[in-house]
Parts: sequence; structure tokens; C-alpha cells
Amino acid sequence: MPIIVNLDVEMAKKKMSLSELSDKIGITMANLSILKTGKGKAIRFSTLESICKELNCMPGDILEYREKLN
Amino acid sequence: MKITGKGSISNFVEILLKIAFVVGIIVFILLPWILGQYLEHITNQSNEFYWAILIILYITGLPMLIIVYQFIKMFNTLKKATPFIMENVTYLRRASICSGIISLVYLVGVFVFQSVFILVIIGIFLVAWLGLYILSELFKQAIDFKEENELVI
Repeated sequence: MPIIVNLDVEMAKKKMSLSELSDKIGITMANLSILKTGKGKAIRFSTLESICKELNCMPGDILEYREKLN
Repeated sequence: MKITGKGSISNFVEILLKIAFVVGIIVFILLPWILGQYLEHITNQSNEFYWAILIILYITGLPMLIIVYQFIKMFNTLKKATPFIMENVTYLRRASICSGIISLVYLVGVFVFQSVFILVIIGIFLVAWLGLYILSELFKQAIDFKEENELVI
């Protein structure tokens, strides 16, 4: 998919582990892992909101559009 | 009353299906003898149709046993309360194909024995053939929806 999830980059910047973030935003580790590895198909605004709040960043820091190379 | 899971209606139906399966196998094995006894009972003499009836019953009996077996396996997944899996699509599709075979065999059989009963059987299995196929497609779509839903975080 041309939409890239940069959650791992943002988490590394804030030095937050997956379990720590999952505890703070109330999403299971398994689901957060799906999101982090780019396997997810969509993200709820509410999830995006809590991630941005905890990591103190913008949605654009987490999601990136990169044109598909054919 | 619980529909799925332990101690539910589906559990009860599964037990009935298992009994039907075992009885079905026994009847299947003893078919030549049972059919002979039955024909003797209703006609009081050896019947010219004995072999034709026996062949048709054997050809349609096997798919019927397969259908019952597929349903047992499907109800097993209901017991675990996980009905929306690809295996169930396969089971439904197999049951649908078997229903198709049975209806086609009786469609040929109706030319040998003109009977209203055979027409009823053809009707039932034709509907089962198409109905089970549509159900399998519905299950497939439900699985797609479920996966889509699970991947929305």
C-alpha cells in the first residue's frame, strides 16, 4: 500500500516501547503490532487521536504517502 | 437457550448428526440385505428392480454420508464458537456438490422408476445444491468482512 505507517520511527524518537504505548492508549499489543508492521487496513480517528496525544505528534508524522513504483 | 458453544442447540444437533452418521454407515453396509427384505415384504416375491434400486441407493448413499460428515465437522466449529473460517466454506461447498450429485442421479433414476417420491427427492436436493452453494459464498463474504474489520485498528 502507498500509505506507510511510521509508528516505529515516532516511537523510537520518543523512546517508547510497544507495551508502554499499548498500556497508555488502551489498545492490545497484538493490534498495535499489526498497525506498526503495516499489516493494518485502516486506522480509526480515535486510535490516531490517542497515539498522537501520547507521542505528542501530528497524524502526518505517523502516516506517510509514498507513490507506488511500478 | 444457547445457540452455539457448549450445551447448546448446535451441540444437540451435532449429537443427532453423529447418530445419523453411524446409523447411515450401518444401513449402507447392510443395504443389499435390507433392500431384499423390504422388497420381499411389499411385493412378496423377488423384484426385477432389485439391482437397479441397489445401485442407485449406493451411488446416492455415499454422497449423503459425506454431506452428514461435512455437517458434523461444521457443527464442531460451531461448538468452538468460531464459525467464520475458510474450512466451513469448503465443507459447505462439498455438501453442495454432493447434493448436486444426488439430485442428478435421481434425475436419471426418474426415467427408470416413475414415482412422485423421486420427484420430491430431486426437488429437495436441487434446492439444497443451490442453497448450500449460496450459503458457502455468504460465509466467504462474511470471512472477508470479519478480516477487514479485524484489521481496522
